[in-house]
Amino acid sequence: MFECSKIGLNLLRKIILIIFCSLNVNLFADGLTETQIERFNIKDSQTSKLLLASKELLKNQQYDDVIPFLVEVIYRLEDDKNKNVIRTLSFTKYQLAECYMRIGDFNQAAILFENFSLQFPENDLRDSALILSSQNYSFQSSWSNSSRLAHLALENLLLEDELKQKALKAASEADYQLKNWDKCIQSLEILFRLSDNEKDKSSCAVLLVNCFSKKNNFYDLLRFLPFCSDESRNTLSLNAAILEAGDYFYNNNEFIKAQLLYKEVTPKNSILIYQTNKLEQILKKITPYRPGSQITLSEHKEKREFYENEKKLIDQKILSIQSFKSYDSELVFRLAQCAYECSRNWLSFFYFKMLIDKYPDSNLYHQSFYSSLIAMIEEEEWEKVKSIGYEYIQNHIDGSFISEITLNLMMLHMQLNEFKSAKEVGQIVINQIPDHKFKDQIFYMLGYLHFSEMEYETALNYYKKIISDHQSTSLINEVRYWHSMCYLYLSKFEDAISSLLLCIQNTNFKNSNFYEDSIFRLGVSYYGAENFELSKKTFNDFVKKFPSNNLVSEAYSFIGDLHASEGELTEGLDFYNLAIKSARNIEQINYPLFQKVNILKIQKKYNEIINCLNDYTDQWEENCEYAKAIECIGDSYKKLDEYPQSLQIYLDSIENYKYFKNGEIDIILNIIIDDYNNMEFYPYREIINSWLYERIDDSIKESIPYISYLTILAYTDVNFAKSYLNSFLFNKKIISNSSPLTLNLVSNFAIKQKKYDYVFSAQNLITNKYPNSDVVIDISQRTVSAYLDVKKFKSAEKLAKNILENDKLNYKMLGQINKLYADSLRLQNRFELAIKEYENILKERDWKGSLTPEVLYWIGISYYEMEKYEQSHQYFQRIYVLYGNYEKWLKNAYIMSIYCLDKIGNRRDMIINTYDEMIQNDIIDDSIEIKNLMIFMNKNKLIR
Amino acid sequence: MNKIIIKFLIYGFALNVSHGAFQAKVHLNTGATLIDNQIDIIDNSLILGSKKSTINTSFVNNIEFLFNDFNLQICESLFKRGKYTSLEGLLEEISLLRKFSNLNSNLNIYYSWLLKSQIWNNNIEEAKESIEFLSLSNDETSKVLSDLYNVYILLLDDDYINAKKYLSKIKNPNEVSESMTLYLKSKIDFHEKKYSNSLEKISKIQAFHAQDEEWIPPTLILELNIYLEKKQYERASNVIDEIKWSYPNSYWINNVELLLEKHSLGGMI
Repeated sequence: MFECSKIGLNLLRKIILIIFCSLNVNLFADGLTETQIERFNIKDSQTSKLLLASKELLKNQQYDDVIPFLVEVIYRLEDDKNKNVIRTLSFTKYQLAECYMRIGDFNQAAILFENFSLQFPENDLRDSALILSSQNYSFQSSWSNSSRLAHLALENLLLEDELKQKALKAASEADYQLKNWDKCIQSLEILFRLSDNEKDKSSCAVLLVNCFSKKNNFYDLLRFLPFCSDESRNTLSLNAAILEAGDYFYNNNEFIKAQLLYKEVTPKNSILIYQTNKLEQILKKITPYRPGSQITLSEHKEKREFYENEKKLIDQKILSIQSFKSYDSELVFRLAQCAYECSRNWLSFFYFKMLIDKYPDSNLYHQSFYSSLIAMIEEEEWEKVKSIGYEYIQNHIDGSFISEITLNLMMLHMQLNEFKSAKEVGQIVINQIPDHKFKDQIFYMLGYLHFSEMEYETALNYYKKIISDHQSTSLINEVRYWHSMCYLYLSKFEDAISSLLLCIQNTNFKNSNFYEDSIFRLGVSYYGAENFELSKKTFNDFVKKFPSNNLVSEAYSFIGDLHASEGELTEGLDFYNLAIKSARNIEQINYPLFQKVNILKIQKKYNEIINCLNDYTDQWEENCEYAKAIECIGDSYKKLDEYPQSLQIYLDSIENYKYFKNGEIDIILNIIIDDYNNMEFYPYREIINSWLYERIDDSIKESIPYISYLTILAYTDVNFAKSYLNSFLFNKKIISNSSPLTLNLVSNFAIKQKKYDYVFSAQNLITNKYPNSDVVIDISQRTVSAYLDVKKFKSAEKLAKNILENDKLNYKMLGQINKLYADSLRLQNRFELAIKEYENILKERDWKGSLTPEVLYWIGISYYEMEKYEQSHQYFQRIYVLYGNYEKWLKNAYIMSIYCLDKIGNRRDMIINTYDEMIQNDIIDDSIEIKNLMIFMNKNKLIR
Repeated sequence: MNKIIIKFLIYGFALNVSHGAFQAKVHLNTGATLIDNQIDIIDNSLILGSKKSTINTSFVNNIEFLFNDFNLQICESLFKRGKYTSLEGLLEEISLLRKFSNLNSNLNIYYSWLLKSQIWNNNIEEAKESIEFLSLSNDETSKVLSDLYNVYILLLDDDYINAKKYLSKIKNPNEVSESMTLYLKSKIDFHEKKYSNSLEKISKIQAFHAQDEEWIPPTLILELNIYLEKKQYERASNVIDEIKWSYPNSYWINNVELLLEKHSLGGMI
């Protein structure tokens, strides 16, 4: 993932070359004064004159001119044994070598200096000659000669410090070039100790750091760094060398070493601050002369000149630092990479964050976002991953890593089953990132998401898009498979067949994980397309070719179905048995097993059904389809005319209540209740009752079997219901252990007895434990009524609305719920909305009946409350004109009609007529409403 | 044995220099400054020995102690180089000046160095005395610092419940030492087995306080401890390498060895 971009090696080499040049620059610092010389006839002149002339020429730095003089002198003196002559000869030879050096003939100079050292080993200038020879060889890059001669000079233990330093410099340079790291380090370490000059020390430090790193000598390198002065630590060259050393270890996968070295690097910005501070200190010292201070004016000038020179040097340094490309953000990035490589993901994250916060202009800024996200993925810090991802999306939708970040974010959401969020990221990609690099993968995931939500058309469109726009995608096999699956699930079997055949016939697809599955799906598609022969053939091929495939059992089931549907029951049974045998899980057993039971039913082999289902429940216990199996066993006993055995098996199954899946125990309870009410089993009623009481006596109070038996009795035995129900039902523990059937009972009896807490408890349990139960709507309806009764109108409104929005299956019942919803609005004085809802009920044909006069009445009441008495009266009138047989509403409608007429005013006759109509219709009774009406009529003298 | 002798010598040295091995600059409220090398305090009176004069402490603005054998730069340098024993020995002298705790002075800065050296020399009882001195000072920073070290000592005894309570009561600890505060919090997280939270804080110290000589090494030890607890031996090995190379032959290496022994990984280093 990470690529380490190096600081150019060339740059470092240049720095090193500059260092070496600066080490040697003093060589050329010597100088001579200029004079006039006479012209000579060299061959004829006396030696003394030649020497004198040479001296003058040397003084005038006429090195080219002096060479013939010196050569002639050497020629004349060469074989003389006289001590003085030898001294002159040696000096002349030394001068000649130096002249060659001065005129730039380094080769000749190097040879002559070396010869001098060999010819005059006792001469005082021997060491200088060796060093100069070494230096001249180095000018020609003759490094081995340079190294040899420098080390020869260093063999002199009494070599004076200045020469020693020169020799060490020459030796270290040559050894560095020759990659003799040990020798070079040895020289540099001595030189580092000897140097009293900060610049030389700094240069040595840089070279030492390089040598240590080249030698892979991390330990010495790390130990050496603390000895470097602040000045050295704040030079670009030293830090570039440490950075390179760090890179060296990084590239060798030695990340901790690299990290420790990177930590030693001073950032460019810190170097700049260091030099700027230094400059400020110098500037403070540059002050005008103050008479009366303790120094003289000339001393002051001298000091000032010194500081100004210092200032110039620092100015230059600052300029060169400023012009140097900053490595600060790269440094932080590398630290982050090292931490990442060592799996220290949090540390890596914080370094990336540092880069993001401190260097927003860095070219590594966007990559840092992505890398920090990856680090947090590695650390499985999902919330952090999301926050990084969304921050990037929000602020850098056009950022260079937007594709990588959105892809990872979407994949994370998928992994965490946060499908809605995954989809949202996918939509961001589609709507806002047209050039997304991984559109194929995004579409693939979107397709998968829609497929999982059974939105096959949408899923299909995504897969089609990938196939048309991203043909070279690495996901092509998977895409083609899901493309086919969409057709299959859309029941577009012909398209599914074509698409699957295209997959299967593609040679690349044979290596795909979906290859075997595709053949199975092809069989399913043929089956769907009613091409049963091909379907059978495909499934048979499938089981033969891939006997260990997980879907083999299902293929056998399909073959069994195909045989059975053609009336080949024996073959069907064989294949269902094969399907059961090769099943990998209980789900693969259930289907063929119950298909087998169906065939056995046709063959009337009830004992076989009983045996095989008993084996099945014994083997799979709570994992099996227990209720279904018990129902089938019970049916079989009934067919064998052994009802008591059926009852026995039902009641025994209640004892094994743990085997039932959520609420399915009610299937058995309902069977017993139905049997009890079934005239066919009338003779067994007493048995049913007595066995139930026996079981109740034997069971633990408040246990699930106990509750179940009592529930059955509550539905079958009226006497029991009257005498025991209260004490049995209204018990918190009973409620918490109840199945939906019992909860329905609780809710029903509780609302009748206005025990609202139990209504709410039943509601709470049914929605939390059995949200898919058939009785949810009954219980919920009662709960809405209970809310209205206890004046919790908002809660009633909320629950009723929730049912109306989410329950589409019990449409007939929704009329009543809708009425309750409108009631809740009316009771909150939201009359207009209430009327609108009531009117909607009236529009539905399915909800007509007793609901109509009731709804009309409440509309009338709503208008009455709104003081719209004319409209109100019309609704009441509609009831007694059109719905006269609904007595409850008829009486109320008449009463309210009279009150409306009174409110409208001047309707005395109409009131009296209406009242008369009530008498004629025999509506007047001794109810409280009528009594109140009579009081009203008497008070207003309306009774004739 | 050797350590005891060395300590004795250092203490002996410290005792010898304690008499008059410093100079006290007494800055009065009037602006005047008195200098003396003998100073004492009795009740509310400051007694300047050589001049035999007495000043009521209410006239004293602050006292600046200048020691002959050390100054703040020396303390810092010794601490940076991990010379905790030498630093503690050198600063032993200031314990004789404990009685000046109620006056404004520069003693609390020296006491901070003394406390740090005692902590890292594992002289916890002495450290508690220094904490007491700092907690009595008028300087808010010194008080917070003493509180933070108190939390550290509680954590040494694995009493993370009280440490957590104590730390939560310290006001703005980050302003005094963000790295130390983060370390203490990460150590509490570690005790509560919230390893990810702990690692987050540890990494924050390492990234943003990389130059903190005091808290980086214990942070690395804590990081190692987490990896060992989580049996992430490859990560642990990386941290061991870092400690080994950064702090060779040090107290921290001993800590690593102890941790490895605890996890029956003695041969890992």
